[in-house]
Amino acid sequence: MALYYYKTKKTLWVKGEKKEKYVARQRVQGTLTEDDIAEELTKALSMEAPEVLLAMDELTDQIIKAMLRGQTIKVEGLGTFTPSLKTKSSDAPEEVNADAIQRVNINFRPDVKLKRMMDDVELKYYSQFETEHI
Amino acid sequence: MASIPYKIVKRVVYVKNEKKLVYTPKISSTGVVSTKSLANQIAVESTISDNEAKRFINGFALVIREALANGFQVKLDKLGIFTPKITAKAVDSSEELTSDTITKVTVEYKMSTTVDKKLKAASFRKINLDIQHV
Repeated sequence: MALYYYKTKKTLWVKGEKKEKYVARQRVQGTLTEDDIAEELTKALSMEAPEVLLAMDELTDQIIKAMLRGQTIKVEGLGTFTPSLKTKSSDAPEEVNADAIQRVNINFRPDVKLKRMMDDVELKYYSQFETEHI
Repeated sequence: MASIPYKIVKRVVYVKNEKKLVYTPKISSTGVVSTKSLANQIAVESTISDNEAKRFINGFALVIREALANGFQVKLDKLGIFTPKITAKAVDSSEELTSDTITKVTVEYKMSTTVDKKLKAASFRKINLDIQHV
């Protein structure tokens, strides 16, 4: 398994001085869609395609429903989704109400299996790109 | 309709070097939704058994892990996008930029517009607990 990176050029200001620096960025090889996942699972699990699609739909629905209840969701092998709040602070507890909640974020923490897999990937330089200036 | 429970917490902040006590809302955890419970729900809502649902989740997570470790992003229409992400040190020249400058390989999750819209429309309910210091 390999992850490709390319070179980017960045302009940074260090102590008021303009400096050009080079940083590696990952190259995304492509996108895996739900249909691709369903196709792989249909083969691997000997399940019918409609069953796999229904199960996938149900799984994502259950995750979203739990997020909307403020619950943490653990999908073994993938990771944990935890909702958190972006809020305004008040000087007194009586002033705190739902209006102080500005938005709900979802934090994702990769599962140990996913972390290990990402730690073990081979990093390869993708030289097809010119160095990108960002 | 489900609502997100929140409690009030107090924390110390520093405003212009002055210590100040403020109060903010924080999600009041209602537990973790486990993979087992997700599998049970899938079995209830579809035609597959509990065991098949567990095998489905394992397979689903494996397909996603392998795609991410091969540099692919994974797009789940309702849930969002998972992307492999590298963190790297900036260096002074293009020649110095090697895979050794990459300090971390992880996975980033970006919620879908469906999740974003639902979370923006979420309702909240206050849980009256003793105020905790965080």
